[in-house]
Order: sequence, then structure tokens, then C-alpha cells
Amino acid sequence: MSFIRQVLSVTNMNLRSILERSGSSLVIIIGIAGSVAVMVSLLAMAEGLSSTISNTGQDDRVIILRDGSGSELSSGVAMTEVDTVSSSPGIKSLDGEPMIAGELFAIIDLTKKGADSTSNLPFRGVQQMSFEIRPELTIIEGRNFTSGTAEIIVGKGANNQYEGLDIGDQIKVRDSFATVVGIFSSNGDVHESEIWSDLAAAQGIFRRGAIASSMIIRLESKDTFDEVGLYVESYPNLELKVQTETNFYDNQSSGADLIKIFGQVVGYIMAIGAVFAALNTMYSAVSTRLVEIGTLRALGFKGTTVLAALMIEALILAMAGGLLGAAIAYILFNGYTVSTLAGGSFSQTAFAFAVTGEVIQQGLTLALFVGFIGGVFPAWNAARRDITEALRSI
Amino acid sequence: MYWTLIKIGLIRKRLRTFLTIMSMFIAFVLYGSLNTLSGLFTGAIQGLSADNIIVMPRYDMFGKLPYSYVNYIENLDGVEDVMYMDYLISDSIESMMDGVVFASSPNFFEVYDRFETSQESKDALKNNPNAAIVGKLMAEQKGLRIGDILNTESNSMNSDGTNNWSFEIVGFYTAKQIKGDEMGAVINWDTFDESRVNQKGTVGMIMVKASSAEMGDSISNQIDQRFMNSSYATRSGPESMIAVEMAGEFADVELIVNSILLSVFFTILLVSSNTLAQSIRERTSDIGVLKCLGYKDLTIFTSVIFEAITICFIAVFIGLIATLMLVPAIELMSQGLLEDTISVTPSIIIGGFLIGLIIAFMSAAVPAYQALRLKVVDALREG
Repeated sequence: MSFIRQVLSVTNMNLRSILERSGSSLVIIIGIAGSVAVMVSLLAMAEGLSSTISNTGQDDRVIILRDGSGSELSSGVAMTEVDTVSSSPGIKSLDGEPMIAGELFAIIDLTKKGADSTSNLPFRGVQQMSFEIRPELTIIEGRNFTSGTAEIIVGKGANNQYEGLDIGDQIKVRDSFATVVGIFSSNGDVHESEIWSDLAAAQGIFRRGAIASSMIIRLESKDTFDEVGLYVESYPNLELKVQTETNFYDNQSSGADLIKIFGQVVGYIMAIGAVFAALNTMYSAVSTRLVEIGTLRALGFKGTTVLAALMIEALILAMAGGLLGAAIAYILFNGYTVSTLAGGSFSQTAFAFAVTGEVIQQGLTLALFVGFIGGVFPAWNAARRDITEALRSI
Repeated sequence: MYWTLIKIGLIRKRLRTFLTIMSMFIAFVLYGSLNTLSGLFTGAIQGLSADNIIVMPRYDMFGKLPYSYVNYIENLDGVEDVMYMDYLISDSIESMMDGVVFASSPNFFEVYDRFETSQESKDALKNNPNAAIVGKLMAEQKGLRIGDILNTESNSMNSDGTNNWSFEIVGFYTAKQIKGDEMGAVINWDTFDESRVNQKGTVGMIMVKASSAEMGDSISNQIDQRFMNSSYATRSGPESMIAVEMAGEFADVELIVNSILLSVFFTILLVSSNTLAQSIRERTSDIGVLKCLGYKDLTIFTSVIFEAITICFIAVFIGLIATLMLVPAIELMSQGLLEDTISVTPSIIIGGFLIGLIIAFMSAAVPAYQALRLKVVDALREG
């Protein structure tokens, strides 16, 4: 008990004197804040990208592509094949209709806001059932397109990132024109970076005939996946690949893993630099206080008390740095939307940085680690000092 | 005389000098390796040809163009040679990392002069419809030899109803500058087009060799104008320009990563320069003593500055050495894809030392000047 009280009183004394040594204490805080801010920002970026992509996938939805295609872009399925698959068991039905839709996936190029050249964005032709299959999609502005017309609705992300995608705007797609009539959100997933139109209209625009790129299905439950898989596999002359939507989109998020690894590597390297800076500061904090430490020891405070108090000081500074860094990253980047070329489709996917609790926790762990390493050696050194020698340094 | 003063300054607190150097060292390792890596984009682009014109689908990087375009382009003024090709797999970046198979017209190596192979291999490719010339890197990684069968998958269905294709390896090619290009194979377009079930009579890319570099622009414009309103509109331009446009697609992320890294670097430098400055502030009384002994102000000032420069330069030096050692490691991790594409350029080295010099000045000049301005008695009293 008395050990804890001693540690607390010495810590108290140390903390009060921090203000007098504000310069060198700031060095620890800034150094750690910088490393944490960087690591948190990069991880938040990876987190945002991967959750955008993998959010799209749900276990009870199935996506069917042509066998051998890794993405919707290179896949093609005939509308007659959609009809064939629609009689498969395991598909949920809505008012007696099987919940299956053929969708056409194509790429168009538009100018990003503030850019000179054009970038690719996905254009999806959908059937009415597509909206039932994806209930998370809601029109947030304007109205839905009317079937059979050259009207389009635009994802929230695409609307943010590109010029000329507001309601009432007309865009040129290939050699036709289409009018924006609505803006939709879909839970922050990849579809928010897309433009949607009626399937028949899209087939006309892109001259595809009765061909779609993929089929999307809502299952009765995720357990009926095998029923659909078996049906498609055993049906003669169907060269199709059946996979859950989750599986399909997880395969496309490898870019996010790369950013994550990059963020961690850079964060750790920076942390090493911050360790040296913290060591430096704590050593000089100890050396300017040698007399105090000697006096404390002479008064009967134990070496371990001094050690513990110095460690607490270092950890408090580190925590302050960590919180500052996380706050900087949060204020600057949380919710910040950017877009990049995501794997799979060769088109732009918009995503928002997500400074999640888990990401912040990783940052704070790093901060405490730096504080611990940076504090333990100087504190150990101070605690072991000979009392007379320490006092002599007056 | 300077050297004695500098040496004493450096060893006055050895541990602090060491720690300061180490934290700056880390900053310069980051500086060196990140700059080297960012040279990746520009380096790869520099390796591309500015003379050959690429014609590709306007809206969809990996879409198709009708073969009839080749005939049209061949007859344009100033066109010397036309090469066309299609890709067996072209639907995701991941699947293409494993090697791209180019189904090409017979003049691939004549027009695409970044790729090189022997005359025998070229002849073998022309005489054997099922032949493949494999990139050196791919051959090394998969242990392929001449006479082996190259089995590959494609998005395109073969006449036998599967997506599997196989070819006989007749030779190897190398690629200048961009090692990643050796991760591939070249086969005959005729064979591919004849056997595939869908999209017969299309090509993925057309490459035009102009008779003179000046003709390039007018040829590209002519092609794009001609097909502007067709259902297969084209995007034409020098290979390097098209690549710059593609790299631009990553722009957002690249910008953010760069700005984050910049802030990393400055954090560490701020911290180290503070320490450097502090060590000089602590020395006010020492400077008083030196003045008593008759050292001139300028001498003391210069020696303090040089001390800071010494510390910074040591950090820059070992930081760049570490970067040099990291580069082969990165190349190894990329499994040869980045070989010869990334290097620590002289401008990175010079930049590093310049930054070191600036930091030394910024952190040392002010405290040293303040210490010098004090009267000797005051300076001595400080200690």
C-alpha cells in the first residue's frame, strides 16, 4: 500500500514539473502523435476501402458469372440463361416471382471534379427485381428511373466525385444521351460509385442485344446456396460460375490489404524513430532531475518507486501523444471521401476513410509501446543510480 | 581547431548524440525508401516508348476493337507498320499479375521494340501456329524450358468448350527497362482467333509504328476522329501518354499517401532538431568559457553549426546506406517484377544531404547566436 502511495506522490511531483519542462515533454508528445496519426490515417484508408468493397457482399445473395471470368466486366450471360436459372430451387420468391435479375456491367468515362482527363466509372443496367434483391439501396434525391427510358440514377459517391451528375444533367454515353433523374445511397458500398439504368436501355446503349454481364439472386436463406450451385452445375450446356456475393467481393479487396500492410510498416518504422526521440527526452528529463532523484532516495524512497513513477510519466506523455495523433487523424480524415482504381473492375470506386475504434486502438497500442521502451531504460538507469553520486551532481 | 571543438561537442553527451542520430536516421530511411518507391510510377513510364502509337478502346481499357480497324490504319499516310494483339486474360489486375499472354500479329517483336528475342525464336513463332515465346522472368519463375507446354487459362473459351489453352514453348524474350513485362508470353493471334468461340475477329490493342515521330499526332487524331461515333470508339496516343493517363487513375490515393508520408518525415525531423537545439542551449556556460579563453565569436559559432551538420550528415549517410540495402530486399519481395525499375537516384541522395544541411542550420543557428550574444559573465552564470 505504502509503495503505491509513494509512487503516486513521486508521480504527482513529476507531473507538476512537466509544465516547467514543457519543451522536452512536447517532443515526446509530438513525436508519438506524428507516428500514431500516420498509422491511423493509413489504416483508416485501408479500412474504408475494404469495408466499402466487402460491405457490398451478403451471404444470402449469389452472383453468377460466365465460367472463367473473374469479374463482371469480362463476363457475359444470355438473358435466356437468366430464365433457365430462374427455375432453380433455393431462390427466394417475391409475390410468386423468383428474385433473380440479369445485370449489364459496362464502363464509361467522365471527368472527375477538378481533373483534366477522364476517369472510368461503372455503368450498371438493372431490372426492377434488382432493387428488391438489394433493399439497402434507397433513392435519396429525385426519383427512380422509368423502365425503358434513357433515364439514369447516380450513386452518392459518383455524384460527389464526378462533374455533371446532378439531377437534370444529361451525359453522353457512347453515342446516346441519358438524363440523371435521381441519386441513390446503398449503405456506403461499391454501388454508390456506379450509375444505374434500366437493363433494356443499357443493352441498347452498349449494343449488347439480349446479353447481360451477370445474374444476381437472393436466396431463401444462405443455406440454399448449394441448391442453386448444384442446379446450375448439373444443367446441360450452362457454362456458369456460382458464388456468394461475399466471396466475390472479398476477392476484389486485395488492394486494401496492400494499403493496410503499407500503413503498418510505415507506422512501425516511424515508431522506431519516435522511440529514439522519446529515449532522448526521458534521458534528459532524468539527467536534469538527478538531484531531485538523489534527494528522494536519501529521504528513503525506494529505487523501484522512482522507476515506477518515471515509467508512469513516460506512459502518460505517450498516451497524450497517441490521443493527439488519433484526434488529428480523425478530424482530418474521418469520412473523407476519395476514389481509386479498385481491383477487379478497372473502374473507380469511391470510399470514405473510416477511423474506427479498432484502428484507434492499434494507434494507441503503438503509442504506449513507444512510451514504454522510451521510458524504461532511462527510468531503470535513474533508479539504480548511487545516491551520493546523484547528489554530487549539484 | 574547429575539429577539436566539434569533437568535444559530439562526445559531450555521447548517448544523446547517438539517439539524435538514430531518430534522424529513421527519418532518412523513410525519405530514401519512399522516394525510391515513388520513382516506380515515373520510372516505369520513362521506359515506355514515346514513338509508337497505341490504339485502344476508348471507354474500356480492356475492351475489344474490330480487326477491320487494322486494315484502315495500315493504309493511313505515314504508317510504317501495324501490330495488333489481344490478351488471353484481361479482367482483373490480380489475374494479370500472374503473367499476361499476348496473342499477337507476327510482327510483335519488330514493332514493339522494347521486347527482344532471337531470330530463331521469331522464325519458330511464325512457322508453328501453336508456338509461344515466353518472358524470361516467367520462364525462371515457373521453370519453363524450350519444348515444354505452356498451359494457361483464358476468359475466352476454346473450341473444345473449356477455358484452357496450351502452347508449345519455342523461345524466350527479354524486355528492356521494365522487368515486369517479362512476366508474360507471346502467341499467334491467328491461332487464338481461330479457336476462340466468342469475340472472333477482334483485337485488344493496335500498335502503330509511324514513319517519323512528327507524324504521330496526326495519325492518332485521324484514327480517333474516324471512329469517334462508331460503337467502337478509340483512344490513341503514344504509349507513354496512355500510361500516364492510366496512372492518373490512382491519383487520389497516391496523393494522400504522399502527403501523409511528408508529415511523417517532418514530425521526426521536428523532434530531432528540437533535441539538437536543446543540446546547444544547455551549453551556454561552455560557450562563456570558450569566450573567456579568447575564442572568437565566429569560430565558436561556426564550430557549433558544423557540429550540427556533422550529426545530420551522419544520419543522412547511414539512412541512405540503409535505403541502398533495402532496395534489393524490395526487389526480392516483388519476385523480380521491380528489378531494374527502382533505384536510389543521385537526386534522392543530393536531396537528402540538402535537407540535412537545412535542418542543421535551422536547429543550431538560433541557439548558438543567442549564446554568443550573452556577456561572458552572464553566460558563465547560466551554468
